Amino acid sequence: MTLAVAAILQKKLRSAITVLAVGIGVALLLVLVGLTRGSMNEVAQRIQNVGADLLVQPAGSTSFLALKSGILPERYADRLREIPGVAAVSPVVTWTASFRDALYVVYGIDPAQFASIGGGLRILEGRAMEARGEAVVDSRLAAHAGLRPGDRIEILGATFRIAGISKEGIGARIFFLKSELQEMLHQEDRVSLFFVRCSSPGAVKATALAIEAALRGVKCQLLEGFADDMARSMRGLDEFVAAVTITTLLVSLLVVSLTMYMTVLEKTRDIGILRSLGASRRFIVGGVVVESVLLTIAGVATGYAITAAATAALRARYPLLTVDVTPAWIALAGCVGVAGGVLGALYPAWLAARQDPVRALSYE
Amino acid sequence: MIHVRQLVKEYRGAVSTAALRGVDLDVEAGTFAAVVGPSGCGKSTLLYVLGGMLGATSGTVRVGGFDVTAAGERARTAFRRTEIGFVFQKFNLLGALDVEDNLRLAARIAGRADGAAERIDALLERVGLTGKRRARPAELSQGEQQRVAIARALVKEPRILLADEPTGNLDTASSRAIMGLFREVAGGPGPTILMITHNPECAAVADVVIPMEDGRTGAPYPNAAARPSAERGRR
Repeated sequence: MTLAVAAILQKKLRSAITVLAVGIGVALLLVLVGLTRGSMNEVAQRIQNVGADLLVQPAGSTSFLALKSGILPERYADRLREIPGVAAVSPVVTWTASFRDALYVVYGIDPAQFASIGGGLRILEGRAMEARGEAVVDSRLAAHAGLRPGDRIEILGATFRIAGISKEGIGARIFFLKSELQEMLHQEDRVSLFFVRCSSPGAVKATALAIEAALRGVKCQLLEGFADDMARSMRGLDEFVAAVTITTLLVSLLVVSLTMYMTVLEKTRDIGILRSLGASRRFIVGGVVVESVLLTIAGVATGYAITAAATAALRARYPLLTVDVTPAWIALAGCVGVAGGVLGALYPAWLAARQDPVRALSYE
Repeated sequence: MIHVRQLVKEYRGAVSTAALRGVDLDVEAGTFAAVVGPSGCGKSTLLYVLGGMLGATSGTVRVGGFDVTAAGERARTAFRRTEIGFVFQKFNLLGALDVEDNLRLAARIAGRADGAAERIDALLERVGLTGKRRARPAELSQGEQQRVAIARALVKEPRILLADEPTGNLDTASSRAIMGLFREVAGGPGPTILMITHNPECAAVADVVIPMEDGRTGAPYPNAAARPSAERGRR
């Protein structure tokens, strides 16, 4: 350990570069996965927070894709209300709109119906929209954009007056009257989805089956556990996370391998000295591996620091982004970094151990 | 203590070179012996074979009852770890470690960590470097580095001390000081010493001188100037 620490301190610049490279790999993994999972979980959580029991969408759609168009007939709302177990229905038109250079999911709702399936908009300031030309924005967007009730915003090619500020985390960040959004999108009598509240918690599953049986071409999703379902429906997410994880592993492995290879070359004479003292091959391998583990542990710690800094910077620059860095992923990224370092040290360690002691001693 | 019979060492390559051509050698326990010969006569090769760093092509080498030539690489490493102390011409200290840590590491590798702190203190005092225990090798003079190397060889309490041209990189004053140190070690209950040198002045310090030329040793002769170490008590 003493020799490993001394060797690291002796080559400060190279050690620092190695630590930084491993750290960047670890931070890359944590921030990218944190951003992906954070954004996805946040959207899922907002849908769950609407308070409904069921989400009725066009059959075959994914949770995200269904939030893009109005392709279900609005009259399905009446048919839904007739199905046993259904207590309340709120048809919703969803769309993606650009506001101040960022894209937002917007909801077109009937405030009364929206309140009937959960807690409603939960207005913090002002009131819900009552007339055409009014909108409600959530508190996070309002804080970010500096919006207050009475302000006017340009969105979807029209001007809207902010009627109120709603509590963040429910459905969308911007709300319009359903009828107005339908008109703007030329989707009269069409909606994107229905939120359904059931008469009792025990009736949810049976009601979902009844809805799918009664309405052709829809799928009915339970909102309990919706985040997990959404994760499953994001095809390619696992592959993306795996790719980033493997990239981090490879970066750590290659950087440490290169560093330790150079170190072993430079320390050829030292290895000869150790062998002349009677150090076994296992001792030599252990020395190289301990040195690389120390470097990667420092790299992982640096990665955590970079992640914290990057997350803070992202939150400051893009307050609407959610970066979800969980303890499990912190642990995994650390393990990936150290594993890469240990694997990367194995070949240089093997090279070091098989050095001929006499030749190593004469190495200049 | 050291018994060598018809030792041959060939370096095989495109052209094979015989560095040792049938060496016969006997060094009794407690002796300070010097192998003297010109550069390229095979002295260093002999030392490395005795210390288990090089395998022999043929012949036998027994050191303290251990058959070096019959042993495998792992056994030779274990033998070197506990029985042999090396002192090299180029000192070969670990530059990343300070003086004390160089000694401590040698003791640890030899499995003699117990009591190492006391031995290190005593050895540093003996070689006159107590005040430089935290110095790195690069901060020491060459003579000081060689004194550290001797202390490192002794801290593991070896039965054999093998020295390869220990004054080869030193000026005259430092060489005399180092030879004085060897003489002092030889005068106590320390290891058997086999030193190779091409310097007759250094060889004059040893109890026995073994001439060597063209990969062969000649008849050893006692050095009249030196007090025979073999007469002292040995462990």
